[in-house]
Amino acid sequence: MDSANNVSEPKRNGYLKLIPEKNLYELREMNNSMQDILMWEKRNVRRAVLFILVFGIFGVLIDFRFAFLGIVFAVLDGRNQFKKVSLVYQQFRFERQLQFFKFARLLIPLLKQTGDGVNLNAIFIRLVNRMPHDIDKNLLQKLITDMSYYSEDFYPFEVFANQMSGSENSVLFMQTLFDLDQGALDLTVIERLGQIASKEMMSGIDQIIAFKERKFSLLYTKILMSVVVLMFGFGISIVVYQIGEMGIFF
Amino acid sequence: MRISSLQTQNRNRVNLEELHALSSAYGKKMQSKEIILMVGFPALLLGTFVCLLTYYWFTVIPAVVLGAIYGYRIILPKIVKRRYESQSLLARNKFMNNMTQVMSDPNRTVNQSIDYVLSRTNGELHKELKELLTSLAVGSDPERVTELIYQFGKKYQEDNLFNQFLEQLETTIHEGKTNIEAMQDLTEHHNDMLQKRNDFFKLKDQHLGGVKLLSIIIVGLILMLHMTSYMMSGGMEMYMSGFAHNIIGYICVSIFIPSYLYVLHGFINNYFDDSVMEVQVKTKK
Repeated sequence: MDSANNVSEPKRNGYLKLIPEKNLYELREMNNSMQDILMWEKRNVRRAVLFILVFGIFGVLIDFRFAFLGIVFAVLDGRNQFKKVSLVYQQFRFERQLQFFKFARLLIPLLKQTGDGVNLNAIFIRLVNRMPHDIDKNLLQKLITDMSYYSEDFYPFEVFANQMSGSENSVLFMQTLFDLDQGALDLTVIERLGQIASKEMMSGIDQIIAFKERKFSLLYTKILMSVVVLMFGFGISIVVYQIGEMGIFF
Repeated sequence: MRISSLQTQNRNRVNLEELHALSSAYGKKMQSKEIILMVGFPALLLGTFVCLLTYYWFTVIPAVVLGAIYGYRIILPKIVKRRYESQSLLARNKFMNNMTQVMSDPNRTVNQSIDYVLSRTNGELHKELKELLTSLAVGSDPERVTELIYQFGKKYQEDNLFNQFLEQLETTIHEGKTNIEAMQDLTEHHNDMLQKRNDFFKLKDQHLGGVKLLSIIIVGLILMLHMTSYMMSGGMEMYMSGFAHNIIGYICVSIFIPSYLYVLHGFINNYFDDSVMEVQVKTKK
C-alpha cells in the first residue's frame, strides 16, 4: 500500500538524510510524494546556503562575526521548518479524524436502507461521489478494489481506517463493517455503528472548540508585550530628556 | 446567496447592496446606525492611539482613514455574515425539531409533513422549502428525489447534522417507512451542537470584553505618561519633545502600533470564526 505502510522504505540518500526520521514519516503520511519532499528539502538547503552567503559577505565587508550569525540563522530556520511540519501534521490528523466521522455518518442511512443482504461494494460506489475531498475519494476507491482482491480478509479495511483516520475507534468501526460484509445480519450492529459515529462526532465538536479556544490563550500576553515596548521607551526618553535639560549634549 | 461568494478580502470593494441582501435574508434589515458604528469605532480607536502617541496631523488622518476602511471592509462583512449564519442555523434547528415531531405520526408522508411545518419556518429557508416541496410534488422518481435533496442540502454543507437529517428524509421517501429514531437522534445532537456553539460564543464574548478593557487600560496608561510628564517638569514639554516628537518615540510607536494591530487583527479573525463543525487547516505543504 503506498503511503502508510511504506513509510520507512524509501532510500534516504543525499538531501533526504538531513530530514529527521519523524518528520519524514509525517510528510509521507500527509500524502507527499518523495519527489515533493526532495524538492522541499532542496529549497530549505538553498535558503540555508543563502543565509550563510549573505551574512558571509557582510562578514567580509564589515565584521567577521556576522558570518557566525549567518550559520546561527540558517540552523534556526531549518529547525523552524521541521517544527512547522510537526504542527501541520497534528492539524492534519485532526482533520482526518473529522473526515472519518463524516464518512461514517454518510454510510449509516445507506446501510439501513438496504435492509437485508448488505452489499458494501454497491454502497461504497454510491458514496464515492459524496465524499468532499479527493484524498478520501481515492482511498475509498482503493478500498473497493482491494475488497474484491482480498475478499474475506480484514486487511483492506484496516488499511483504510489507518490511512483515513488512524484512531482506535475508526478501526473498531471498520471491524464492525467487515463483520457486516461477512454476513452478520443484525440491525442492532448498524445501530451501534450509528452510536459510535455520533458519539465521535460530538467529541469532535468538543475538540474543535478546544482547538479554537487555544488560539485565545496568549492573547493578553501578546498585547501586554507590545505595551512593554511603549513603557520602556518612555522610561528611556525621560532619562535622555533630563540629561538634556542638565545641559549635557550628545 | 452563497456566503462564500462574499469574499470581501480578496476584492477591491464591498458591495453594500450584497450585505443588505444577506442581512435581510431572515427579515431583519441592516441599519445605517450600525454601519456608522462599525466604521466609526475602529477609526476612533486607532485615531485616539495615534493622536495621543504622536500629535502630528499627518499621522492621525491616515490612521483614522485606515481604521474606517478596516471597519468597513473587514469587520462589517464579518458581522453580517455571523448574523446570517446564526439565524440560518436557528431556522434549520427549528425545522428539524418541528419535522421530527410531525414525522412521528406514521400516517403522514414526507411531503405532507413539510407542507405542515412550512408555515412555522421563515425567511430564506421558507422560500427554499417551498421550492423543494413544489419540485417534489411534480414528480418523485428516486434519482430525482436524491438530486433534489442533494441540491437543497448543498448550500448547508458545513452543517453536517442537517445534511444527515435530509438524508434520513430521503431514505424515508424512498422506503416509505419512518426511521424516526435516527431522526430524533440527529435532532438531539443538533440541539446539543447549538448549545455548545452558544457556550463557545459566551467564551469569545468574555475575551472580547477583556480586549476592550485592556485597550481602555492602555489608553489610560498613555494618559498617565502625560501626567508623569506634567508632574516631573510642570508641563507637556517633556512628553512632547522628549518622547512624542523624538527619535525614541518614533521607534517605540512604530513598534507598538503595528504589533498591537497585528494581535488585534488575529483576535478579530478568531473571534468571528464561529463554525464548530469545521476547522480550517492547511493540509498541503
